[in-house]
Amino acid sequence: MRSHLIVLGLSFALCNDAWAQSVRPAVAATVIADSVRLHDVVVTGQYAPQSLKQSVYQVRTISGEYMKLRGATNVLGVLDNELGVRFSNDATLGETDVEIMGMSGANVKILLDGVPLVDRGSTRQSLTQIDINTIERIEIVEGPMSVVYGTDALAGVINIITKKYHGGKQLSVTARVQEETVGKEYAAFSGKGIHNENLGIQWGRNGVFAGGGITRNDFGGWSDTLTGRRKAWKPKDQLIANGSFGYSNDHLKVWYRLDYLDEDIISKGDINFDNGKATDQHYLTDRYTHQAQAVWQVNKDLSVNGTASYQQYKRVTRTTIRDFANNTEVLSPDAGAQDVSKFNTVFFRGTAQYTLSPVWSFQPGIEYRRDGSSGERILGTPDISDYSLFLSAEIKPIHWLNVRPGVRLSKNSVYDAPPVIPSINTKFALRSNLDLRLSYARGFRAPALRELYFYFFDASHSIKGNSDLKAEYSNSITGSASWQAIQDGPVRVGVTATGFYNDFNNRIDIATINGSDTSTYVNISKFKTTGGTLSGVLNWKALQVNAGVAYIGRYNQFSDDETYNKTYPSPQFTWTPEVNANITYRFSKIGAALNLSYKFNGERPAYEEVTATNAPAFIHEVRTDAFHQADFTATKNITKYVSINAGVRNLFDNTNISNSTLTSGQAHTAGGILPMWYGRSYFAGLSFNWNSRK
Amino acid sequence: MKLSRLFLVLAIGTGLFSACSKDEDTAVVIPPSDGSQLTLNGGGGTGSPNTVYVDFSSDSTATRARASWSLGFYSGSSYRVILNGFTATSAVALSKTDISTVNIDDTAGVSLAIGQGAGTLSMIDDVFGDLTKTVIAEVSATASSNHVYLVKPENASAADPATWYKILVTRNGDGYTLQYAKLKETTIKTVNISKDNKYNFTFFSLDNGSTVNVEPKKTEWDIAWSYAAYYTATLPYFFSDFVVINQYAGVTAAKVDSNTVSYNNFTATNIAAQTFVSTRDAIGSSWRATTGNGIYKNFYYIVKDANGNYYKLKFVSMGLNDGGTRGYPVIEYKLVKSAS
Repeated sequence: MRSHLIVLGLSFALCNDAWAQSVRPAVAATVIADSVRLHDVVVTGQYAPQSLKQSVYQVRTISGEYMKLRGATNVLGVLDNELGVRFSNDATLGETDVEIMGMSGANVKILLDGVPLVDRGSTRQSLTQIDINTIERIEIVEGPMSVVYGTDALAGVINIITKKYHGGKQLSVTARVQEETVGKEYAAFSGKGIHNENLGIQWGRNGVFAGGGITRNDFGGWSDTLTGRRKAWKPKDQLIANGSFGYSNDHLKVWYRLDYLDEDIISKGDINFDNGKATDQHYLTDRYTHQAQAVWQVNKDLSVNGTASYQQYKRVTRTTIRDFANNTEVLSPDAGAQDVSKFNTVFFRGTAQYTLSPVWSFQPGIEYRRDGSSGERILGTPDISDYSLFLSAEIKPIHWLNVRPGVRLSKNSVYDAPPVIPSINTKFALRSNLDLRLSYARGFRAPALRELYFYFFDASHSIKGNSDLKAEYSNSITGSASWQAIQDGPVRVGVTATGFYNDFNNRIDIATINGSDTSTYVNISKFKTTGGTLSGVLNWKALQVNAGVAYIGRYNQFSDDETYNKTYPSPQFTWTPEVNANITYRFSKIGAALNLSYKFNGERPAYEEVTATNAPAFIHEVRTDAFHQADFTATKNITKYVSINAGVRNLFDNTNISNSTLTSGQAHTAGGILPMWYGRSYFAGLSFNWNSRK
Repeated sequence: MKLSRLFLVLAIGTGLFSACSKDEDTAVVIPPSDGSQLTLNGGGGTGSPNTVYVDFSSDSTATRARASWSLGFYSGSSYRVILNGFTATSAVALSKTDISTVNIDDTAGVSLAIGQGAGTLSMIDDVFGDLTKTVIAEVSATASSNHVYLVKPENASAADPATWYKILVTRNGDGYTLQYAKLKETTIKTVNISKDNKYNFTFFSLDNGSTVNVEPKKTEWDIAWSYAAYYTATLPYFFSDFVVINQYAGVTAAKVDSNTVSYNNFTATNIAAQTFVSTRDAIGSSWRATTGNGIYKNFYYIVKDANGNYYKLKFVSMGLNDGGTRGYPVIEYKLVKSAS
């Protein structure tokens, strides 16, 4: 363990209030009954923290309590049950990307207390590099939020809200140990299996607060059918730490927080018995996410927020050749075998919230962002600066109507930024227990540094970035109806229906311009998604059931392709159904709870172009298998301070799912199977929570 | 809770954090090689700069810059001209037969972009090495029947036809006459090229304007490792770590699955059961994948050289997860049966 980490680990982290534009004490930890009444407080995209019911956006929340009920050790471990959320695993790199409502990670914005997290490419690694033990809740907003959050927020926003200080005098210590098998592989506390430990301290007194935490997440990898040193799922060791401090009084709250990550993904090669050597790789990631935030309630009508962040993200690829005959290890001289890629981001966002009258409120804001990068396959050491102004208004002409128009103006130092990004969100309280939300928004995704400055030339690649790229943009229409059908009595029921249509243009793809032998990124393709969800929640005494269905359509580009749409007609959308259910039963007398979470990810069709020798190319339907996933967890308090949990993950024993792609003689057709999970696994954990609060 | 218990928990927690999670490798015994091993000096990288010719019977290699030549003139009885298939050279025939009338205007509508999905198989020679299917048609005895070709070497720009060559080949007694120039050049250069029966081809560099020593004598090499023109599906594709056999000298090769008979156990008695292939790609790319696995360790090859000796050949490392270095492949081979 490195020395500066020890210092960090011993320092104290904050338990500040929400990202929160308000310094008023936040509502105490939400109780489960609120899931029907929609009293849960949310902050994403809000002028001030407010209840789900009042929010002009349709927001989904994942509570800290639910994370505990699932025995989750990372964010993906709770997102997996969400409708419209799917993962794709990259077995080579040992990384997982997230998809929301049919759109991949590049279109999803990951925020930590409102601060956008840096990722090196389109894969959202950041989501797996956050300590779940520091999270109070997760808020998910579907659909574009580009007016407030800028680029990448097309498919939606995942805002991770850390645990906060709720005023008064407080000292708390939390610790957690959880051990888990990976399929049938397990060794106690290190090596095979999953090993998680966490330690956290939070302190607050007279408005001064501080806190800290440190977590180890070790994943031993999974061999699947391999028998040598190589593993199908790469082992991954993470050390995550955070520290923070701040001050709050009735009018002002300021805090600083640092999140640190040290990650090592280990790819061991099989021994080559012809030369007695093996090639090993490590992907080493270091991340420092600094943030400072301030909330100032100037008077009852005006508040001001400032958020500043500096992030450093370094990823090292280290390749070594180990000689087993004489037990030596040397660095591999191959191209790309040793690499250091660096990314750094300076970010500032300032907003003011001004209430002119009961009808009119405004939120003007400014945002500045500067991204820098260097590394192999990046031409030079480019940096991009982005300047934005945004303004929205909240208009409540009558008590049942809330209209929020907004606009964002951007200027970018490199690419041609979309000058005006508009949105309008509306909420109609049709009845006291029935809300309808309709919105139109334009979203955009700025070209990534990689797309602007990529540089990769070797025997079979000639790819160059394109600094003339424009932003991708989308036009989105979303609607939802939320009905708190039964709010009182022993049985409470809530139902929500949503629908969406997104039309994406100027999508950036790699293409070869006619007459050139170099590929580059161009604004060429289109994409569309559409679909809807229907979900319900039911509370009856100690039982809570959440269940829903989703039906999501993804655009099939061949339907509009003139080469093919006559000979091989194919539909404009390919549809995938999903079903989820979450059943929790509490034994309050003995302090125990059972949770069963289930999700069905339906078969996913897609179309591909197949080229063959001596035959014309044709269009072929590819089907990716459906799969069921379910986890079962039991939790019980042993003493006032100690609780235990145990459970089974992946009850259906999923491993790889098959995909009916045809091998077209393309160089990189993976085809055949997709790694989904590593078999049924079992876990048990112990957590300790000591709290002195006055 | 008492503070002492709290510290106990903290101490346990800290102990767990420092636990070592790296499972150590157990010792392995590596059997020594019983054949000859050669490291081929490809020059490094995926598009390695060299072609390496290997002669098993003399345990020798000949290393040549793979882009050092443009055209090869066949020394056999027919009059054939090949393009450099160890580079991304592309060519197309024009309808014109008078090279002096060809200029940059004749490139209108012509694309010689190749690779990365661009180009067609008609722009490169037969990937199986059939000399009757070269881009450049057999050189006719009737000089006026020979067409002018546009040739784009690997180092030329697909977007700038001024970097391309125009060429015209005619017969010259028992040899060839080559006329060539870049498309904007007005002076046409002329060179006579004779056949040398000891070699498969006589090689010529358009850039340097001279013949080049490339292949060893035709009986002095068996296989060559190089970056080379090949195909996927219907498209030309350039392969790293491609192995051609000396098919014009009569070398053939058979691929053996070690599940049938292992490399170590393969003896002369197993030869009869093999199917020998005489095309350029008899070994080709079938011994390795360039993503993921690297060398297919369950395959090896039996190579019959021009003199009738049989060798077994396996690939030791190519630099993909096998402890080797990319562009410096290591091969191992052993004589199985001598020519009687």
